[in-house]
Amino acid sequence: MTDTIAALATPPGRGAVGIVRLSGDGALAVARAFIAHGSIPERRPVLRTIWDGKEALDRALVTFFPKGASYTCEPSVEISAHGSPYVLSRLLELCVKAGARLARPGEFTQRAFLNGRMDLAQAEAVCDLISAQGRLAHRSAINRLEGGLSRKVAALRGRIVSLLAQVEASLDHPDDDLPSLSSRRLCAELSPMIKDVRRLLEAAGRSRLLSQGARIAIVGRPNAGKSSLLNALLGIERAIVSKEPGTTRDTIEAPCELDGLAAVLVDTAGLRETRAAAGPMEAEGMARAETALSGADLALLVLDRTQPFEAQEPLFDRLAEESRRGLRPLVAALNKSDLPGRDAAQKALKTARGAGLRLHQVSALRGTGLKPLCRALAAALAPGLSDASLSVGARHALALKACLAELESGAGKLRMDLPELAADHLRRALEALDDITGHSTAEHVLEAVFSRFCVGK
Amino acid sequence: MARPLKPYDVLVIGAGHAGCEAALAAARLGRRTLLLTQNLDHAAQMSCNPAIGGVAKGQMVREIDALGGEMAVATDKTGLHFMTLNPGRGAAVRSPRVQCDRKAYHAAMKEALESQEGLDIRQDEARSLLCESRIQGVETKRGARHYARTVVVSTGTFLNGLAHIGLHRFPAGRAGDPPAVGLSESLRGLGFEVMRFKTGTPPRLHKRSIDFSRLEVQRPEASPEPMSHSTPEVRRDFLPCWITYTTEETHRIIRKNLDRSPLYSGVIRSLGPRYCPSIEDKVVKFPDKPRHQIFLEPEGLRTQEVYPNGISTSLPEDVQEAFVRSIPGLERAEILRPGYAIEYDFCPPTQVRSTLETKKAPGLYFAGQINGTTGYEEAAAQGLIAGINAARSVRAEEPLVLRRDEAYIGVMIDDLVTKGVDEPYRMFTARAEHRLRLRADNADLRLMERGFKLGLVRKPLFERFLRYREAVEALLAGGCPKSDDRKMAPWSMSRAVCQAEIQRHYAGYIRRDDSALETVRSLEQARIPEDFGYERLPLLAEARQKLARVRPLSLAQASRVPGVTPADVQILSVWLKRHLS
Repeated sequence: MTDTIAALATPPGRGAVGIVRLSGDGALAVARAFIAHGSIPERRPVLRTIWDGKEALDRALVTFFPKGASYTCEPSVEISAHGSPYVLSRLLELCVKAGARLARPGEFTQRAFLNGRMDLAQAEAVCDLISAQGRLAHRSAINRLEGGLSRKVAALRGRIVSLLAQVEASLDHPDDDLPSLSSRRLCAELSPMIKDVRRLLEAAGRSRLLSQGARIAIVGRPNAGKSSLLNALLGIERAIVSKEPGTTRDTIEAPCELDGLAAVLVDTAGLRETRAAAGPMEAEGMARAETALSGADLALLVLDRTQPFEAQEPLFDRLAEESRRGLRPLVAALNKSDLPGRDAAQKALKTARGAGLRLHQVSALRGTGLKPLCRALAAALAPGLSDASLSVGARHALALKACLAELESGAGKLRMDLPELAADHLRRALEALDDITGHSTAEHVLEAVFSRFCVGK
Repeated sequence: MARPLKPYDVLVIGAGHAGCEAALAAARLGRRTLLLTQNLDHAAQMSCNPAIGGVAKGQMVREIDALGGEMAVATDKTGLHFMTLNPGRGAAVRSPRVQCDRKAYHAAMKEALESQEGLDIRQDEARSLLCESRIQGVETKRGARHYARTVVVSTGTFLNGLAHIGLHRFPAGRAGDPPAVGLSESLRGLGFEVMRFKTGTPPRLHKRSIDFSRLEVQRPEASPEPMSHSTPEVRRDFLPCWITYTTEETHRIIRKNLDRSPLYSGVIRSLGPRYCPSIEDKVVKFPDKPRHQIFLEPEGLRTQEVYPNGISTSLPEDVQEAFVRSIPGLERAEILRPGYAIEYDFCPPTQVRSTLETKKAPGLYFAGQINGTTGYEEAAAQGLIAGINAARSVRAEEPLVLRRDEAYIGVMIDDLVTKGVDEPYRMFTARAEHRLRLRADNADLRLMERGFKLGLVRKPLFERFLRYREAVEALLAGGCPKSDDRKMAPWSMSRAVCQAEIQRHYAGYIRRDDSALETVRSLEQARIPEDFGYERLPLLAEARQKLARVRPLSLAQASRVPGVTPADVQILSVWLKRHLS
């Protein structure tokens, strides 16, 4: 018996069609939960209505692949719906509601391999895919939660841990002289949390998370023209540009669309090798640039053809190495093609070739070479995003929904004075949040018990 | 010394709570067993408080009993004060705890050891392990060599034990007993990593010097449920416990003398358990708490010693006396033995397998405090499993590994070997994600069949249990089985009715748990070969190192290794298939 997994199979963005794929023994049953009418024949696409409760969500092409005849070798259903982010994320939610779970990065491919669909030579490729995508998905998960939301989820988690710690302490240490467990007080602590989760859910429901897209960090040495390139790509004067190196201190974020793909460009302060030589302002700017880099789905390195390449080489080497390790893809641009600088350009091109990378010659000032650069950016992002990271928004919304349901049940059990059952719900509420944050629960709760209560005789 | 003709099957070092269970289990499984102890008069000694059980621990004692261990039987024979903790709460967190007569408990266990067929006992101290490609036996302090096919090390706090009373310190295994020296070096020589923990105990008081008139009394249950499934009932005169509290004055005295505390003057650097803090720790870490609770527990029927539970300390004796006398009821208290802290060696438990056999030395098993745990129950449970598995390995039988959803014992051992320890490990119900299943009331239903099949639960008892189990099943199916208590005693029809009710109460939760378990089980069945080469895996170095250190037995265990992500487990599954084909 395999559990049934669901994921978007098409790349993100507002494409015309988006495909949701289900795989596992229960795939057909899951699809049946929201496709109430009409047959779903084997291996023949049929047009069916997707029902979201009593309302029609979309009309979609539905294909059922029986065991042995699908990509994964498991019973699979493919649903080609209209490509709106709302329809697709709602469709995924319906799948989960019907008993499927969201696939982990690369899981379809993994299943295909485990079921003998691929030969051994492909195993390593599968692993590379999983590891690259896993890291990418994890990073984007963290990133999409930045800007207040991550703090809110972390704060919520902390409050649940603290509440659970009170319950666990009273269950595990009944002999100790602890404040008595008052269901009324605990419920009073729980109800604002429930309200907060509802609020977070509304925010997620506005689909903001989903539409934000991939994060591209623009990095390079000071004065390489990062801000100019940002402005050129956006077509507006978003960042302040000057000849003075180090004009950009804080990171600047700007949403844009690259070749149909939603993305956020992040302009950063210039990176130099020695942070020690930098003043406190510049050092902070560099630290922020590093943070932006570590959270990015892709690095756009801006090289300066008017400066000696040797000074720019360490950063290039580092990013190329990280890209090779699957940490994050690298796209490199050689800026200022309007200016002379043959020597540096030749060295840069040679090094890039050695690393198997294409160097895109651009002039941010003149606006030349931007189209191919955009296409390269979109192409570098697409494979990483197709399997899992797109559904990050949906994943968060589902996690928050599960958390909400558990908190509500927990409150009910507290009111009935059944603390060990309430604890079961609170634990699951935490586990739901852990899907977002990647913590592990048991140790944190014990930690909270021991730091808050003087237990032990 | 000439090599004896036939080596022992199982040799157990140390006759504490782990060692006793290990030796009894091995001998009961028909293996020639030798138990070595420094001092037979201190076998199964309760070095700390004279109680067996407690929340989560009580569940574990019931599990030991269902598997055919001795701890619960000895507890029933010698209990002075039985209590059910969490009586008003759900069955999953209701736990038995028994204050025992310390000397009587020792005597009961010693008697069990002495009357056990196939078990040789020798008072001597193991000095070094004889090991070639696998364990060969041990050499003792007196130079004797005992050969054995398997060896269980259960040395408690004795390995290089160092006791502290104030700034005075002396080598000891526990107050009054010398430490075991040499064995740690021998373990290091075999390549084991050895680290240090500390624990402590309170001063013991003379009963006649306590003014009980001012104290709150904690009465025992009049007709308690026995701890062991095989005990029909416990009837004797029980003793009460008393409750008192520290005062602001107590705290002032302690604070004033912290410079003379080995804990706070930097003499002791090893970590102790956070959940069993010394009174000086409580006062320092919880300065706002106006008082700390103390239970005064009787040590036995034939002794006047009283154990003040809650004021474990390593302050100097004069300070101990001063702060004890600032406590209501203890104004004139006489200290019979001072409290002390003790530091001892342990081996980080990621060095053992789920069977408790060490990874480095085939045939060598660790059980109890050497694995970084604390508590008699935790030790006994490991002793039982190590004894069973050592015995079974001699005839190449499948080892006993309990799952996390099957027993607290399974949770504990999985935690130890998968996550390691950073403080002495004690069991809590909070550690068990399947807490609602792992109850004291169903330890028999969970494990007695395993105990019987192993050969540790006797047939007549098992047949009575089967009748009870049938009754429970019939009740759950809506039937109304004919009651015949005589044929199922010590189980009874009323107990079956109770059990069916509890199961109905939790049914929804257990079903929910079942579906989560299904996924885990399929990962559990994906076994990883021991010699699996992690170094080739395309994982981050950290995950690779952790997996290579723990060497998980299954994908499920791999997924529980701290720092290993679901993506890592996916990659592992792909490589595993590649490795196998």
